[in-house]
Amino acid sequence: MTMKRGDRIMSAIFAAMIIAAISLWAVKTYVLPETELHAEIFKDGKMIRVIGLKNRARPEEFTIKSDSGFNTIRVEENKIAVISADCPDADCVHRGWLEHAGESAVCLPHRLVIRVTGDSAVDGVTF
Amino acid sequence: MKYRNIVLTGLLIAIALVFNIIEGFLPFPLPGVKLGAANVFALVALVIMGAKEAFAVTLLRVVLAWLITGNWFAFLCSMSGGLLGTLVMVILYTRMRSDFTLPWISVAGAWAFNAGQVAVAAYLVSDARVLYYMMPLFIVGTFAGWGVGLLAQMLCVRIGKITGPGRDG
Amino acid sequence: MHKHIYNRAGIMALLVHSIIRYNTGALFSNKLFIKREIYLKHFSKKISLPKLAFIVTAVILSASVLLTLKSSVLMHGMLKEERESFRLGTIVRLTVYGRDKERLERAVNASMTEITRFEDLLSVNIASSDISKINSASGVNAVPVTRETGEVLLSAVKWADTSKGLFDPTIGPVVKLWAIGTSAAHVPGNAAIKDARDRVDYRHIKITGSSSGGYNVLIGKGQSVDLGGIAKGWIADRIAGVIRKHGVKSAIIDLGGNIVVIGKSPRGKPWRLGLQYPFKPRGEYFAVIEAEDISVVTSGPYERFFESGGIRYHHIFDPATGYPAKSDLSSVSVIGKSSADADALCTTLFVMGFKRSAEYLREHRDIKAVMIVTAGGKSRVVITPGLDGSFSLKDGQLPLEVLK
Repeated sequence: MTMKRGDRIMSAIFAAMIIAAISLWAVKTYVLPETELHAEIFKDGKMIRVIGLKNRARPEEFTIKSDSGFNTIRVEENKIAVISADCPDADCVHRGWLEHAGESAVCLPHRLVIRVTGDSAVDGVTF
Repeated sequence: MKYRNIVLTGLLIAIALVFNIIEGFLPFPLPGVKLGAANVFALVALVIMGAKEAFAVTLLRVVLAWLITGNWFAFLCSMSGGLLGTLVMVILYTRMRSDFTLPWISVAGAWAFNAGQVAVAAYLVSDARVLYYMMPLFIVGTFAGWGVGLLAQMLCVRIGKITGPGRDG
Repeated sequence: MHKHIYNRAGIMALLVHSIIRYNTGALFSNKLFIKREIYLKHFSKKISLPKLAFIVTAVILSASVLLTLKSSVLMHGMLKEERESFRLGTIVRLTVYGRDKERLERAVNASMTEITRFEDLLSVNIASSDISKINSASGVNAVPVTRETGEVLLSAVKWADTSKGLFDPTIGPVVKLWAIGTSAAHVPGNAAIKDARDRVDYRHIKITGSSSGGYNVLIGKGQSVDLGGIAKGWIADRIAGVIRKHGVKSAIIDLGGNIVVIGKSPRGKPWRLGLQYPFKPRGEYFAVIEAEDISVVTSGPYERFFESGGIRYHHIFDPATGYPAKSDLSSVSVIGKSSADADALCTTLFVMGFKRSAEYLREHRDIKAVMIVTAGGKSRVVITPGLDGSFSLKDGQLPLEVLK
């Protein structure tokens, strides 16, 4: 079809819109870092393992040994927990499932910390 | 107002209403924000009869839709969008007809319609995140507006032939 | 079909002209001819109208795209240095952001060193600390202490005075007696409690000397100093100073829940800090505070307690009774520039209970606080008016009240 003057201006504006939309989408998807839900495990203050919690094919279990005992950790889709440990109070086991960013379980005797990170709504929580 | 105009206006309002309600069933993240394909009938009214009739089609269509669906959020959005869209189409058609073809006038109407809708939606919801939907809405709305404008062009010719002399299409 | 050629400034002038004369026809018609030549004389660059529309739209859209993504764009390239450790009897976490990795590492290392140094000076659990020395020499002789110890004690005494004794750094005997937080926690007999609380009186603390010459501290016989209610806040303030001195502009200092934030988050927005939900798992919060260069400290009976005979005994003692303070508050948070002040203040407000706290806050309108008041089984959140805007309640079930 033949376009008139005003039509051409509008199609130019539309073309700009499309390009802006595509670049916006491209930047959002590829350039910016993705924060996905994952858990960080610290032993003696050092991060020893990072586990992704999303897109889990099947659950995983593993044990972390300390010089004074052990902690067994289980990872399922979107959650992680210490399911058994031989520390005196077993606070880490009683903590239960960690499901949201910012939640953590601590085993003081074994100096073990499990923390869930990802896109969290807050940067810190006062206690 | 001539009888012909009244009948035609009523007919257009009815069809526009049907379009509006069908549009409502389209999956859309924002409730009440519509694609605006129903605006084409205001354009047809504009071309065949005039600005008065065009506004009548839009206003009555929005009010009737509200009465039928009871959705006041959609009503406010469609009212602001519809008025803005019809206004833009009236201006473009009456003053700049030589520079725009009908499909593109419809597109301009669609843009104004979407802009009005999103602005009111953002204000009512008090959440600027609504503006994220602007991009896809405008782009899809452009295609919808253009296709529907082409439809209007054909309609105007046909209706003009059936109902006799009026404004040219 | 004419192809009109305009220059940019010419377009602007035409638009203004059209609006003023309410005649858009001039934009698109040949009547422009004469004016066009005048504009063409002055400007050399020429672009067609559709191209111009494209450029203008593209510019506006890219600007808005960049603005919406601004926070993420700022985040790109930011480095994070985080250190977590067991200190001060709790978990201490420092998180610093910046673009210079070495500088971040130095800031964190220096901070951890300072925390250890302060712990060695102020902890009652370390036999060689200044505080332990003061306690061992109670009623006997004045002990020379470092400048920092002297400063903390002066600050503590000032707060004891301001709170009319509700906050008292000589609360040591009571704390030791109950031993809450250890396996020896128990409910002492009335006589033991009376004896312990009689020994609590901050007015018997004698601090002599000066910051330049050095301080000497003498406390009354049988007294014992415990800085638990102010130490974390005071140390947090010092650490913030260390981090700032290293040129770091964005950081979170978390000493066992006592938080100080420096600058804004690396995304360019204020830090978002959650307030712990009393008696729920750690990390669950009932409200969010937006914070920048400020400290947020919370006190509550849920932090440390033990149960005996169906009654809960918590760790915030009332110096007047020697028992855990009977308070209708289940959480007090104070937001302020000085973490030491916030620390002491939230302990004080908790012991005061809601009625007296409300009075105090009305008298001191510059203090920003959040309290959860429980009365008759129902809880509600009360905030000071200064917080409106930076406070948002996350739990819809809790009614919110602004203190008048």
